[in-house]
Amino acid sequence: MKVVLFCGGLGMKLQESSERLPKPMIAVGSRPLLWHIMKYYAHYGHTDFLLCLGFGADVIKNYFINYSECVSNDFVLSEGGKHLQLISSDIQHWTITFIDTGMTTNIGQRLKAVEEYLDGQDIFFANYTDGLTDMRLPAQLQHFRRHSKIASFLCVKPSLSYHFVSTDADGLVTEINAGRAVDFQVNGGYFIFHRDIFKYVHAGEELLNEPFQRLVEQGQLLAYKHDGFWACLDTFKDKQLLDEHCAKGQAPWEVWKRAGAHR
Amino acid sequence: MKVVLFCGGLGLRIREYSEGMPKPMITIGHRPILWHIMKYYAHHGHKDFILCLGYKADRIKEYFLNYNECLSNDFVLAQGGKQLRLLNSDIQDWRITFVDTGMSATIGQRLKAVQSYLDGEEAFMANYADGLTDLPLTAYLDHFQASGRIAAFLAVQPKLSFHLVMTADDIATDIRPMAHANIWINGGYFILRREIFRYLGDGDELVEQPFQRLIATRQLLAYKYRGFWGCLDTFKEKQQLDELYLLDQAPWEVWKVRGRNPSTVHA
Repeated sequence: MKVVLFCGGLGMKLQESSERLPKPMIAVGSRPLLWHIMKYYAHYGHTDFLLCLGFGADVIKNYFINYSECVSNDFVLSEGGKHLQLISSDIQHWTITFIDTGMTTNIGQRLKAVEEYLDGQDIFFANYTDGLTDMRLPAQLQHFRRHSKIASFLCVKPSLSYHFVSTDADGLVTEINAGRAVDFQVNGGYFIFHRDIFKYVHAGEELLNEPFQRLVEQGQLLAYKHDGFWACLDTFKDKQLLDEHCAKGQAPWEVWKRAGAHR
Repeated sequence: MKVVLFCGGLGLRIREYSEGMPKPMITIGHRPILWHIMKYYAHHGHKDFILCLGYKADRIKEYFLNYNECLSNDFVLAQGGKQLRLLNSDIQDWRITFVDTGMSATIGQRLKAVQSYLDGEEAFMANYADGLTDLPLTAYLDHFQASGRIAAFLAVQPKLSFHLVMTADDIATDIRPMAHANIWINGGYFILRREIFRYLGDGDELVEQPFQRLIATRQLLAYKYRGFWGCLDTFKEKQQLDELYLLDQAPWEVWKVRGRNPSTVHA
């Protein structure tokens, strides 16, 4: 199955002085967020990627054009460097299609812009490319197939560093909760679509606005609930958290590192 | 009324930008956010500040010790510089108490550390010193006084980019931007009666045990406000505040007279 990755958003400036990087290129551990997400899909056997580019397209293109498998993998060097033998490889089997979908285009229109590259695909994955999860992808796919609806998204409970407040009619506080204690669920950005999704996305529309409202009205939008790990990269604190996971050696989303991990 | 400003935290969410700078010293326009907040309170007549310092206390002290009214205000220079006459002034009538409350203390413990400076105060205000609002402060104070409760905070709706989802049997029944959801968070801007110290045990964090105790005794008031509230949590938010400032559309600059209606009032 093909995987559409939305990589064109304006991105994130973690530091005033630093060059503004497209969000998918922000490093988590030693590799871009984008790489982690692709590696995740690849682990489950989905290695045909469509990158919807926009802001910072050059940075993303160059990263893959100049990709050095040696930097990412173990290898044997012999004959004084004339011979390099990779012991493992990352992206050797990946097919990556790079599509410029415009600088300020919304997600809905970026998706529309790659429709022709999805010809013949009954279903495909799509991803915001701003979050990581340990969700078992085959389980979401199975859930999607069983219900045979138009769209499915990963439904998660975000952990937020706010204090959420409930009040009575007089404005007196009845409850105040930190972060995840509050029971609400959000769209985590891991989608599966049936090709009919394109019938729901009209010109100019943002995916989650009118198209998703239409899906909701027709009972065609599936929420795949996941209570495990999910984190998105919005703030420096988020980045620190993800980096820390990486430093420990086996981050929750690194499903490819699990011993005997089932596909 | 005295105003306690918590200025000692590390500012984790915006850390990489603010490296070497305490969060309240991050600038909006060309002045620290702390200045904007103090100016806001001063505009409403509250000019007696207690700064709870910690991380990089020196930077905050130096800012005020070397404060140059000329840089912030209009003035007349005459006699080749021998005479300077300020046409207006910012901090001339402010009183600022600088208190070191420790490097890693919680907000609760920082508040406890300045208790002696609040002697004789029936009530006082307190602030995280990282958010800006155009809240009509006097109306809020009146509401608090009339309620007779011990503590109040400003309840605001967070600007999150998430989409909130309702489901029934795995089918989404509603999906909408978080901004349209009826979700309220603690936005700081506290008003506290002196009794708060009876609720604040050793080591307690203000919004944890003490607030739970207040809730249990129905003493905690949430003042819901749908007007402007912006917080300096991420670099993106700093940029948004900067932009408003540069366009001369900063809603929190209540001290500037503009021909605009204030945004929506108390919900």
